[in-house]
Amino acid sequence: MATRTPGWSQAREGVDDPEVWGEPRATRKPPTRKVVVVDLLAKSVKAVLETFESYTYNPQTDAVVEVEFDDVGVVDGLFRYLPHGTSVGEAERVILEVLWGVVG
Amino acid sequence: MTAAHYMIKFLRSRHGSKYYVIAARDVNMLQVGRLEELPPPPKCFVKSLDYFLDPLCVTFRLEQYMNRLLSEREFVSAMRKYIRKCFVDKELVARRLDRLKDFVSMAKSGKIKYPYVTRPYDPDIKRILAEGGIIYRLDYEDNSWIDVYMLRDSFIVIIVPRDVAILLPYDVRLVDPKAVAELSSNIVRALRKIVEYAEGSSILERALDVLRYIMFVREVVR
Repeated sequence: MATRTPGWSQAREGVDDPEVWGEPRATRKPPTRKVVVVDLLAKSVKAVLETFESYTYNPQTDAVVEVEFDDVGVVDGLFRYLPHGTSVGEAERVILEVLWGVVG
Repeated sequence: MTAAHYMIKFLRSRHGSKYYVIAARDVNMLQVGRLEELPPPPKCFVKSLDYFLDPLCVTFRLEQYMNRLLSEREFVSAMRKYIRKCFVDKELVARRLDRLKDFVSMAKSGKIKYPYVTRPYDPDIKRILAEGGIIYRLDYEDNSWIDVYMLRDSFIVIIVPRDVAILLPYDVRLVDPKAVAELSSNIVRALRKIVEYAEGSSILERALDVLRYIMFVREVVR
């Protein structure tokens, strides 16, 4: 016979029920994605592209990132382009720093 | 015509280090230690080794081919042997052999076969993006977008979030009708959408001739 650990099973029951998180799943807005151009040298956001917007990026200084946002903030990011000589960790730090400024 | 040289090499990149397959006519290009230092296609074509082989099946036996110049014959024979060893499924073997054939054919001719369909994180695409240009974000279907990167000699279409990248030239004469015929219907649908947006757009105008030509070829081969 299977045994259950009381504390763990209660927590699991909560997680399994989508309504426990407050808003029903169906009404939550799906995350949106935007192209963000960040100047890594100046540590500033140059552009957050909405649809039908364009921007000329500078391959020497600018990182181009596909950023997933939800109502709260940045969910995830994917590098499309990073300037030569930049490490991913370094770029991530700068991008998160400047993006939190924009979102907040 | 100068023959292409091949090398299977461990390269550092900003995303970490791993084995890559490099093809170039100029042997000096194969001496670099960082992926980003390699020139973009058509001067130099680069793929990660796992684009051809399953990393789990690569054994020390492949080491005899690594970090040394390989002729086309040596390279193709080694890769074929390993592809057949790595995959049991006939379809997978055929697909990887097709990749190998395309890679060698481009390296040999020193020309990109357009449309060049790959992933946005493909090492060739990353190096082409280093040219710089205009990014234009377009609306597509539900929760998806099309990004067009208008570069100097070519443009790249990225379908988000499907992670497909299509590299195209501005010059219609460079487009290979056979490669157009092989495009999936999803890709053609996305390109057709860009045609709609491109009419009247000063940014996308340069891409219009090639996109219209692709639509024409697809109509003919249907």
